[in-house]
Amino acid sequence: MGDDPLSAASSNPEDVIKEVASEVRLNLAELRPEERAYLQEHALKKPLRVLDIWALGVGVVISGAYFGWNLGLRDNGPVAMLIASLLVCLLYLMWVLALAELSVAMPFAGGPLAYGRRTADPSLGFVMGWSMLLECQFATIATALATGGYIAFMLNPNDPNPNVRVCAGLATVVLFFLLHVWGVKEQSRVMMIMTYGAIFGLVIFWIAAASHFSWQRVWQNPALPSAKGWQAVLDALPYALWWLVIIEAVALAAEETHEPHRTIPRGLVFAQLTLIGLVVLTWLFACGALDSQELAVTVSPTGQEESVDYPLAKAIRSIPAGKQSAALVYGFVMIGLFGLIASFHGIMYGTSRQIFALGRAGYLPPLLGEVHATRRTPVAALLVCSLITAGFVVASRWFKHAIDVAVLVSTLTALIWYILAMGCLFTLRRREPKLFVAYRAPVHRVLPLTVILLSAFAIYVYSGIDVKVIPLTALLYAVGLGYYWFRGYGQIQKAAPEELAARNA
Amino acid sequence: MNMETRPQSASSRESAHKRDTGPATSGWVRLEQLTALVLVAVVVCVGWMVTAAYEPTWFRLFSLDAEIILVVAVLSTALILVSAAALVNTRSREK
Repeated sequence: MGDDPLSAASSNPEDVIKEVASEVRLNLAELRPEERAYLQEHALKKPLRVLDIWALGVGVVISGAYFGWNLGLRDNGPVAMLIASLLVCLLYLMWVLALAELSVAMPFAGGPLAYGRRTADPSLGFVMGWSMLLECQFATIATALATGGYIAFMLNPNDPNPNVRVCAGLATVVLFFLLHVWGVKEQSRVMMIMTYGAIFGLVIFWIAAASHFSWQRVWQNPALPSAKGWQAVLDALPYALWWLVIIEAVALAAEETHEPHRTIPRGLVFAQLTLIGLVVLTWLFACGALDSQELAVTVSPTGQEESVDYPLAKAIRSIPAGKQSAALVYGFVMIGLFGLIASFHGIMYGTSRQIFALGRAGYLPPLLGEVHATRRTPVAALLVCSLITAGFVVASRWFKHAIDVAVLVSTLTALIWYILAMGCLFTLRRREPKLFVAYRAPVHRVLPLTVILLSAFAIYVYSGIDVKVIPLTALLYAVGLGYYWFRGYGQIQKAAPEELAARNA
Repeated sequence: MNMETRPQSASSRESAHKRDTGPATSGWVRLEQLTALVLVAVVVCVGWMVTAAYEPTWFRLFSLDAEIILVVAVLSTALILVSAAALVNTRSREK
């Protein structure tokens, strides 16, 4: 983690250019002067190591344990959620292995943009990049909303004030905009501290929940609701995806990672295994401590049913230990905020890097691809990401299902690009086998094929759930593709790393 | 760092091939084959679940509880095997 001579050297723009050229497998001599100048202006530093990648991976996803997944318990029950969660854990474990292979082969901030661009053409690159941008942006929105929800709960557990929720969400957005502008190494340190805090918060929750644990609440009779049967597993699946979605934001850090072929696979695998442990234990103790329907919905003073965006805090407050000790409730919520803030921080990283990469390569307005002259951070991309998030946080004051929609749009757009990315992996493995010399995922063909099948299955179940997000998602794709076809396509920047790599294909 | 752009020698190609294929032991090959087999079982399980969701009277195997335990067991086995393969693969590269 500490600054060492290597990372210090990597902060020199000339060294960074050499490393970028090496990653795109170009000789420095092959770069034209204007391309060197462009890279010098737009290259990022490379300070991240295995522990940083682990912290980024766990931290960016850990909010999934604090909220979002509980919405899938509604009418489905804990056993349906367990099966859906295990499916999701398997999908994501395989996905990070396949993603590590792509990410090591093409270690650029653009991630999916680079994969699609190199595999086919700029259009596929844009669709993949836009999908990840939507995934990260809506996850940022959901996490900002939940952070506000936890703070409002802390201030008034009996009736959380919606205005407080909005203000707290906005304050989080502003604070992290400033922190991200400051710099990536500094963020990485903060991320690690918050990740440890978030894990500690979950451990406190497990211990407290264990004091009121009942197997009858976990394994009900019947285990799946009799009205739904196995349909309950399908209905729980889109929400179960929220446990682990966004881990792919780590792939965007490849451009800022030292020796990505070693660092990215190790960091991602360790992060994913940590997260699977957190998922299973959090599910078990939450569902064992409080009735699953109470974890999912709450009845407001006006008699309306509302989604719960602070399920663990609610569980702690409902058990005897929480009723006897206000300090336990407030202490847990304070520490729980670490989890939400750690994720918000990581997801904002992913969103801003995706906007930055699309802007740098010319697919979105080039202003979004600028970096700060001395700190080398993408200020314009961060500003746009923060403004959009702030807008949705304000809108949530009147739109009660904002968090459900944000969670579901984020997971749906993620699944779309997982399938496209696996298509890219198969194509590039066949066409450019040398690209994958540095790292290759285990279970060669079956693993990415299973990712495709499970992702397609997950997309299919969106058509059957109550909250309809397919029309909104289609509209967002139409807006993005409209900009790309009428404006972006003519502005593609040939010296962007993703374009240089594609030129060398 | 620019070695990929230069013509590779026979020894560097051989070393690249070794890195490419991961730990080349019979144990590793068996682990990969077993993992692939269990992943196929997972896909079959998912197909069965969809069928049972839409046609609750078709292809029912045992009692509901036994079916759930079977599905959870297949998914857990797949998780353990993929994790083991991932860790072995990562460790071999570390060496």
